[in-house]
Amino acid sequence: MTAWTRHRHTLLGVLAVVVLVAMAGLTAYFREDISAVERRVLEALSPVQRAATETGRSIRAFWVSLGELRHLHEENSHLRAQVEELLGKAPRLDDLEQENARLRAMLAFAPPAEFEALAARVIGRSMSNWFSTVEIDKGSTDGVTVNTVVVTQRGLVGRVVRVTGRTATVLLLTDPQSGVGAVVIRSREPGVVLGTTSFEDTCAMRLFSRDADVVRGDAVLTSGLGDVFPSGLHIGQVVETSRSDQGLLVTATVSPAVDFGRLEEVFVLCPRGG
Amino acid sequence: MRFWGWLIAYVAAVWLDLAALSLFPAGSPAPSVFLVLTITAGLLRGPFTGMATGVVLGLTADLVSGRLIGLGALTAAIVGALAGLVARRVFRENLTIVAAVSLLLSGLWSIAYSGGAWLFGVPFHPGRAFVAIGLPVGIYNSVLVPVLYALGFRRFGQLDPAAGGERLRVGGEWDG
Repeated sequence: MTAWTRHRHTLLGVLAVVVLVAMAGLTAYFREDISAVERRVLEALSPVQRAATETGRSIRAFWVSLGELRHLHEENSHLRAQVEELLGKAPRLDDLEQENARLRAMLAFAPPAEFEALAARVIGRSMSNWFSTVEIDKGSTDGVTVNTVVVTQRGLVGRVVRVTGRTATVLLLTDPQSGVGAVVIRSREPGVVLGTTSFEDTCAMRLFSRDADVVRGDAVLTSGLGDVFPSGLHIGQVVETSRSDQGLLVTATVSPAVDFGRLEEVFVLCPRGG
Repeated sequence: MRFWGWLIAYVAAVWLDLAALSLFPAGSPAPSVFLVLTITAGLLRGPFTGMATGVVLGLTADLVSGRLIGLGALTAAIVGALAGLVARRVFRENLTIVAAVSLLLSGLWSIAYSGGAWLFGVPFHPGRAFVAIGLPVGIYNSVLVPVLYALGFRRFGQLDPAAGGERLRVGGEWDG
């Protein structure tokens, strides 16, 4: 028996650990471009992701309709037969009705003057519990590039961090690695809105001034500082303020204007003529 | 033929994982089918199979997520290997033990991942990650792993600790 045969599993394990740790170190932060392997995996999995997301949405719609059926059953026993008949159609009709309402609202959306709004559909969430990202069905062939800003008619969603030919990955405001230059609209107090590291659906706004004038209910917009986000996009509303680090830092908890739990259609803001 | 079988199983795993994730809003903890499969593989087939399953499925999730590529694979591999090692030492016919092991390993996975991310400068706090991600994912997994484990046990049998981890056919009988 050779040494390789005896220690094969240990050697493979050590080699795997070294390679994986090195790869993790190299990819800890966002990169301008993605590797060919990532691109192929993303493109190959894109149809699977789309199908799986549609399945998930159907299951959710069916679940909601089941809850409604139970309620009706208790209150109106004589309508049972009718409800049974409608059960098969209801989830799809509900879905279409909601989609119609959303699309109508989207039609009223006017992007900032220097941008064109490209409508995109969310085809899936991150394949990881650790990051707040979503995949959309528009990519480089549609003019989407890294750092392109993504919004809904309600406000800022995030920015594109990765692009393939037909899909893009959007980093949501709530992701721990997200940061957006912001301003409190009432007092013009500047700061930066960061995703929280406690994996909540709120963001933390670090204000630059230690005497910052910010109160619960204040609206927060993008400041336009930095190269990525244009000014004037609605981020959310202050729900709580606190002081930390011996009272030197004022932090406001911001509830995003966008409901990330119901994100289905978005606008990608592509620069005009770019 | 065997290759196609594995490929179909892999695509099915990816599809299941994505479908389960899509039931939950982005950024909220969701059941990890990949972790469920990794722990089950470790419990049923031993540390090496658990580790290999963790590497393949974890790497897929890493490549799709695009950040810290390799860390998910490494932590899933550790969890898979530990599941295999634990399986040789505990009374695995008891599904309550399987559920407890799944909960424990999922918690460990969340601490290992967030700790690793923190070492690479990503602002994850292991304690908060355990509460926000590890615990809910662990609870989901402690329900899902025993179900899959029981099905796998009926189909594939178990490892025989007395025979150094070699597979032992149980003959389709669940004697838990």
